[in-house]
Amino acid sequence: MKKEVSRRDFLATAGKIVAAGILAPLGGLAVLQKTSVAQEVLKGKSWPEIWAGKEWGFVVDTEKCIGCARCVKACKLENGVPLDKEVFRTWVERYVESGEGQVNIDSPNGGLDFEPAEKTDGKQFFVPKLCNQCENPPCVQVCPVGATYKTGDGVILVDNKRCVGCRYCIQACPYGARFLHPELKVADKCTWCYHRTQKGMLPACVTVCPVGARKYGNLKDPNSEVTQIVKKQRIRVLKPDMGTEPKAYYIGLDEVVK
Amino acid sequence: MLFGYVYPNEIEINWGLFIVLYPYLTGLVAGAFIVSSLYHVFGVSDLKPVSRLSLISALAVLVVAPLALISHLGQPLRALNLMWTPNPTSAMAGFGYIYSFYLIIVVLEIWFIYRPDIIGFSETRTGFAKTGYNLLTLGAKDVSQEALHTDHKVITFLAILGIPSAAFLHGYVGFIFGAIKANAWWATPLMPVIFLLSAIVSGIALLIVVYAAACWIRRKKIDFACIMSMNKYLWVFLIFAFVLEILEVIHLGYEGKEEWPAVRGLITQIIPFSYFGIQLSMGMVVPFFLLMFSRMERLPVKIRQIGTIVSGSLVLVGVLAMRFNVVVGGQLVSKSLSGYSQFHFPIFAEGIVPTIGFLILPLLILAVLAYILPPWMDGEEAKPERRRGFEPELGEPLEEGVLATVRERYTSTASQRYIARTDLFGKWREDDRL
Amino acid sequence: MAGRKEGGSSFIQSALGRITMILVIVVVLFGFARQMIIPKSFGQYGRYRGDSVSEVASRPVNYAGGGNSTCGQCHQNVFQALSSAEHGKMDCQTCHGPAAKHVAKPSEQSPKIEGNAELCGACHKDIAGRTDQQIATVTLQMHSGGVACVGCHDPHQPWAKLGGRS
Repeated sequence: MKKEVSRRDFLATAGKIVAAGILAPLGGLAVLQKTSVAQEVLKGKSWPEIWAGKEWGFVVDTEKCIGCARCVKACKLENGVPLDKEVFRTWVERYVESGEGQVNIDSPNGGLDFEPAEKTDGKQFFVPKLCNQCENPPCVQVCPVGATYKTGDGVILVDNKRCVGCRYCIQACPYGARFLHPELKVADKCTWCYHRTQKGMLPACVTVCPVGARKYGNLKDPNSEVTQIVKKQRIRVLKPDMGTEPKAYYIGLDEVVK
Repeated sequence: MLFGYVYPNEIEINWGLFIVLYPYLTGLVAGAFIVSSLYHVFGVSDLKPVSRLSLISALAVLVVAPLALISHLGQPLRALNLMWTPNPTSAMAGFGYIYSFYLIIVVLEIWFIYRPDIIGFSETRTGFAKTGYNLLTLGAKDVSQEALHTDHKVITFLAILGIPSAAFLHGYVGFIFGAIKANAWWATPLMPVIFLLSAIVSGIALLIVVYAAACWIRRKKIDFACIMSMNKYLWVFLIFAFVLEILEVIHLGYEGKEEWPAVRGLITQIIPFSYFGIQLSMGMVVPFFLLMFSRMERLPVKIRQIGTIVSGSLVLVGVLAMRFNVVVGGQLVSKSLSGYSQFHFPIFAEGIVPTIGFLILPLLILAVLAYILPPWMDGEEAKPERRRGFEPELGEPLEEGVLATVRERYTSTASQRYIARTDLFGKWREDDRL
Repeated sequence: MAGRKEGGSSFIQSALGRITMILVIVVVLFGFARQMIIPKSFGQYGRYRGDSVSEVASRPVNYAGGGNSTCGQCHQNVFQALSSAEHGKMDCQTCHGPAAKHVAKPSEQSPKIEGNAELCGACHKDIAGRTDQQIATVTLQMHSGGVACVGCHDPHQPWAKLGGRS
């Protein structure tokens, strides 16, 4: 059985190689397509008009998170990421410190399969992770074909019709937020549910979080909850030394979290 | 949790064996080209027997290298997007252009060097082959003294231009890795230089092995001066390559920054065998001493040749291991610095079988190329029936080195041969050593 | 020797001339092809395909975004019971799953809920990292011996059936 599959894989690969050699020059033609603009979202406006005065931000409150991973499941269902594959647009990590300073980190199936594990005297907490929509995104910097880009409102998107699947962006992301979509064979990542937020909805993970550990809003709006938190609370970002300037801010982030 | 924690998206290793192959293959190309330049530009006349072989070997490997890359893509049919819309900030976007540029240089250099031969074949061969060679001449059949002189200028120019291009093509691959700040094992400004030196080392090693194998297959005597010359260059470049590769690790360890414990764990616990065992010991230290012993004049010639050839083979394996340790090794270190991913060698899809295929394919292409454009400099192709078209010219005096370069290959009956070569500044010299 | 110089020495017939000609043709063809192939909206807002933004933004939504009051328009009783109880601040879809299709066509598509202990356990299971200060936790086997939670608790008003919280 296994052998059968392998042989098919092999033939598929061989076929792919041959086809690639012959068809690569023609491949460019595949992108010849008509301009189809989604009027549902634009409503007669242009994107620069929509983007004006907007800079999206995200706040994760690690002190509230209970590690239920409803966000992980909702994200996969919302964004067409296969539930049974080990790839995640968002995931929840668990940090369990033993008394002696030893830290155990795990995120089984992205946090969907946490086992009880031993309770210890040390710190114990959950940290949800997602794309940080960096101000200086290394993934955008390295994409060889301009298939991933930062929108005017600061969200990094993937053009899945131009992505060649080289996976350089996956290597470049310091946060492990990117993956190759197992079915589409292009790079995929969290978009803070751009398809929802542009229609006035909250990201799916924010919607389903039972404890309000995830907050989303406009950093350029002085009254938004995220702006208030960023202004008034003690927050941190992940790996600040990378110079990526993330726009996902964490409340109560412990120093062991990387 | 044997290997600690890795981000969930790191469980799959994204760059597998094909991406290991790519820098390995371009490294062989760059190295082989440097060998041909040692002869064509730097005037190392001992390398004459491999001066053409090195070029067509470079071409044979060069055409296979992107196949490994394209078949790794998630969307192979979109490969040319790299040419249509290259992103100027991407370290990878220049690939299409740099590769194409280099391919053109190699093809042109080969074409100009082989031009008189191609014209000769187009006149002496019959049938299908004749048509083929006729097409290859591109209708430029002028082999007058002036034309050949121009050819030689072009060849020298291409050979000189080819050195920085080869260095750039491969140093650039190193930059693709070295510029990834997210990866503790890759991010070092030394990476392009390390890649370049290991490339030169592997290219020389490849030529030693290919040349020896070709001599064995063709039942010809190995040119001892040539193989000893390659021995010398391999030995020198091996020292630089070793120093740099070690320097990188020592530097990481001495700085002892946040990422060092993860890197130390990688080389001491995750890949110690392929790193210390194959890459450093078997691929560098052993060949270093073996090459040195092979230079001892007391030893019989046979032993010295075998020592050099074995060193070449070891270096080839060692550099492949080095590419693996960099490409895959770097991905094994979790970006969380808290654990290691595991690499499983697949068999078929991007696995061992197609990888071996990609390693054998260049040799097959080389065999075909060597059949179409014989690179042998030992006069076999200069049998009378093949050079009939050139008979009338034999009587003429070899007044210029330019002509001698070309003519020398058609004058097997001449009692004295001339080898024309230039020094670095393009000054003509004549060498009547042979 | 002179016989080889047939056709004169015009540049275009020389080796270098041929090569130059081919290279020029290749470069021109490439430039032309590039113009043809690059998508029209590429570079509209930056170095990417502008249409891609609209494509991403117009992907279908699975989780309805209107909040619980949308559900309350039809499911009035449950909505009222829930809003005053412990789970009142949660979105219905946290437990019931994505319901955008149900909102669009209520009679054709219904969200499916897994009414088992595992669903409740996602939040209430006693695991390392989760404290009683954050949420009420139980060890499922000891608490109910595997019996479905809904046997005793109504998820919309967890303590109603049991006469209020002790």
